[in-house]
Amino acid sequence: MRTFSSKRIGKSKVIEPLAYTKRSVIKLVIFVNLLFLYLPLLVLIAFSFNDSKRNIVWRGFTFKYYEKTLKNDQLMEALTNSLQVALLATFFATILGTMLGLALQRFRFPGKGPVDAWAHMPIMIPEVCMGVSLLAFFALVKIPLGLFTITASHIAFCIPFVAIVVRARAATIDPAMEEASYDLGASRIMTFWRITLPQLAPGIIAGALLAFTVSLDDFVITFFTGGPGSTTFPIQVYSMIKFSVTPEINAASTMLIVLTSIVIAVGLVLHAKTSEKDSEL
Amino acid sequence: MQNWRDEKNEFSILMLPPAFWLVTFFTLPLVVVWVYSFGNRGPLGETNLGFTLVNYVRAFELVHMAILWKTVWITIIVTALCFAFGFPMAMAISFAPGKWKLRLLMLVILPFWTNLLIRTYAWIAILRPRGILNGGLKWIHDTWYSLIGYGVEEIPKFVPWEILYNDKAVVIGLVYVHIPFMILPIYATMEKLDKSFLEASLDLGSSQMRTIFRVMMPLCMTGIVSGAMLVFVLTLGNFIVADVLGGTNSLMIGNQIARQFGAARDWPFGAALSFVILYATFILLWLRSIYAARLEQRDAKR
Amino acid sequence: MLNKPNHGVSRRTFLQGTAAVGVSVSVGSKPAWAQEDIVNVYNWPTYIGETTIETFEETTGTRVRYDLFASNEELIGKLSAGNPGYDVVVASDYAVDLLRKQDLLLPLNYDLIPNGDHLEEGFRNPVFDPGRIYSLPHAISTIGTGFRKSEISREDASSWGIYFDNAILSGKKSLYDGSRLTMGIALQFLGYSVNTVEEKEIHEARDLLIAANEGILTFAPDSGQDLLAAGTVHAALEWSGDILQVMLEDDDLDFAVPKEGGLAWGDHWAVPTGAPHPENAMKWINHVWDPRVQAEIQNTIRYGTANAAAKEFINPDDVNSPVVYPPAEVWGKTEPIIDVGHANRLYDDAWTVIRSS
Repeated sequence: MRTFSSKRIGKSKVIEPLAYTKRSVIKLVIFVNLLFLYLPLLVLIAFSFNDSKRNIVWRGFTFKYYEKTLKNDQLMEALTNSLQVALLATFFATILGTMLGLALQRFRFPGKGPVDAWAHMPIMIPEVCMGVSLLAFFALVKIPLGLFTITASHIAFCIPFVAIVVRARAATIDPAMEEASYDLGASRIMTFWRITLPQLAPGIIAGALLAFTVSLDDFVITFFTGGPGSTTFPIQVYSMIKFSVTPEINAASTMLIVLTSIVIAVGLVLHAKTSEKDSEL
Repeated sequence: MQNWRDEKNEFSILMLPPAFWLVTFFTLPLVVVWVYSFGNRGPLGETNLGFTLVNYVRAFELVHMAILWKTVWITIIVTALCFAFGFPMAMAISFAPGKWKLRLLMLVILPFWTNLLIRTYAWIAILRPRGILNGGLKWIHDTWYSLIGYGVEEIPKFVPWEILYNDKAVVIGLVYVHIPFMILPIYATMEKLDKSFLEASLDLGSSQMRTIFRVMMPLCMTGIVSGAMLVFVLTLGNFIVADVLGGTNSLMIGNQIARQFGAARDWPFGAALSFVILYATFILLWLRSIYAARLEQRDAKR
Repeated sequence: MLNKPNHGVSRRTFLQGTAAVGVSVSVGSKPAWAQEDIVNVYNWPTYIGETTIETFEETTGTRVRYDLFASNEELIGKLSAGNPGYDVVVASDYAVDLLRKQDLLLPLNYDLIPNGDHLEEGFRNPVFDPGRIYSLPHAISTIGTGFRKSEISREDASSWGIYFDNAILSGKKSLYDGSRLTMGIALQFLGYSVNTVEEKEIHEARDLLIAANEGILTFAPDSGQDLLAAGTVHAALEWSGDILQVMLEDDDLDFAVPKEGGLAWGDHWAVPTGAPHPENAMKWINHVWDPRVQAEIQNTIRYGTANAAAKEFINPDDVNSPVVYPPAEVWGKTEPIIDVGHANRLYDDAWTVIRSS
């Protein structure tokens, strides 16, 4: 299915060998992937307009769940809590994870094997096991459960996600650039800031996106590390299983999707404007 | 790779803060559960501390090993499918013209900022017997028969494809949930890859396929390995997808562990099961690290 | 508007948490919310009246903070590690039993709960809390079969047998993803108690379920009513209240308590040990037990009440509905699920085998 015979496609139109996105096969891949990713999303958006208490059978069009959602302070607070935790956790985990990824990529030190494996453990451990351990630990050292304990735990399990991606990126960087920078008399900090960081950027961005994703979606660990007043959106959703997930949740999710799309779109436009030269690459 | 002794300051600055955080909010708490794994369950489901290996012995019982075996199989299939779909997608993103790059990246990640459970529930509406997929198939079925001359009454009854509440549905759901964990690491290594290697390969007469398999994939191997690792461990521990989309025998090891901390209220056994998996993956990662170090030394000698 | 000030509070707790770590991890200062006039309620979502919180805040002047959990086991797990600050919780029958036996509940102070007098005779001495020392009912229901009338007759649906006969509605039946409940109906079908601790009986039920796996579509995570509404299954093991909700939107659906007995189920208000505001918790329970408030709750969630005085304010359709209030002879045969101590492992092992074969 995925063949890239340049001859066959080349007959009609000359495509540069590496302009993969212009090839119909790759276009098809993008289309299939996006269809796969967005079909469930379209379904859940459609059901947010469903005039029924549940997301099962279509019973007519309504806007009432949007009204209800906006009036539902509890749901709004849960959304705010989730965003607050995810943004803070992503920020700190990205910094700490980048450091860890670089340290593991660049240095040889005694016991590196086990340390390397240890740093991945928060991903490997079953979530519920980590949740229970944090619950017991916070109770033991008497830290009151709340948004702080949730955020601290989220940072811990987000660090490896960032570290893994940054490390994979760092491995592909040519050390010659940094050496050249030192040879030209640049300081360590300057070199890191001007040479290393820009080269690491795709890894850091990808890592931060993954961290944000896992933090925003986490239910199990959040539940065990939360206290009064720290209900997050995933907790709201999961605790609805006992009865039925109502279209209010779909409406809230749809609003979140629209909101994030707008933020991203604005961000991309601004980014495009500031880096037009860069985009030629 | 540098020896840490040569750059003690730099090494400490990079290593200590994340290490401190992980020790405080991961390793120390984990010790508590590790201690639990040697305890036993009281009659009320409470955890009594003690020293017994019963929980570990129980973890190696045949029935649990069978569940683990099945889980590993599903996980391997899911990882392979994530790679098959994710690699071309990562390629498309990193070779897209400038402004499309970020747009595509955002398009890929955006669905994952919607709650996992409701996205999984949405798959029910797609896959169920009277769902969107079967609705589409029925339409094709009916149109086809009427095109080849069947009357409305003669069209054979459409039999819905049974793709919900079985392992197929679980695999679809797991691929869906984990595909960005494959795409993003590969994208991260492929982005700004030195394209002269690819051009050289093409100039020397290799086909596109050969260039992708023999040149591009090795160059992004670190990203592929990282992505595969992420997908693998996350799938191994997932229990929500099997709960929501699985059939009567869909039990995965993640469900088994979650149930020990849930309905069974047997925390010591749940802890033991978790640690068995943890030890296994820990050893695998350690071996991988040793292997990577060997490779590096070999490359350095050349 | 009610919850608006919460942001400030959570941030305060947050900052305090930060400070606590900054200074020393062993400092266990009393959190700010502990001193406020507030009641921290811990319950499932959509399991309360639409105006319950509002009327409580108006009549008492005490603020309500409402947090959520998903299962009894999560509740027990969290409380057994040390109550993080909840004042009043909702727990199911067996969970009340377990919490009570682990000293995780405070006795109710009936001086502050005069409305407790409305408790119906039949609910005063349950096995899981004799004498109602620790709990008062929130909602009562039965577990039976929700079914589609055009696909199966009421008579057929009135036996657990339909789940064990692969010829009936093959692949169109769903059971519940919980060992005690689903094995409970197998035990009842075999003529045993749902709370048996006999290994032989449990194994018999296990083998019955394994043989039935073929005809069962799935063990649903409490979404049987959704499967029923979608037409994916025509018979589902579910709570009466859940089925009633879908019956409101689909005339073709109904609910039957099987002749073998059926299971009784109740969720109850209780006050956990270590509650920072136990008096407010009692005030809250008294409030939800006020006949009019209780009626408003049941009119929203459509479950049964154990409050005799509330019935006159409840929607007559519900009061007369055999789904919500089964006739005495039916209710008399139902059994509640209670904790079985060490035998829990037998159930769990059996469940593992059922779910992996």
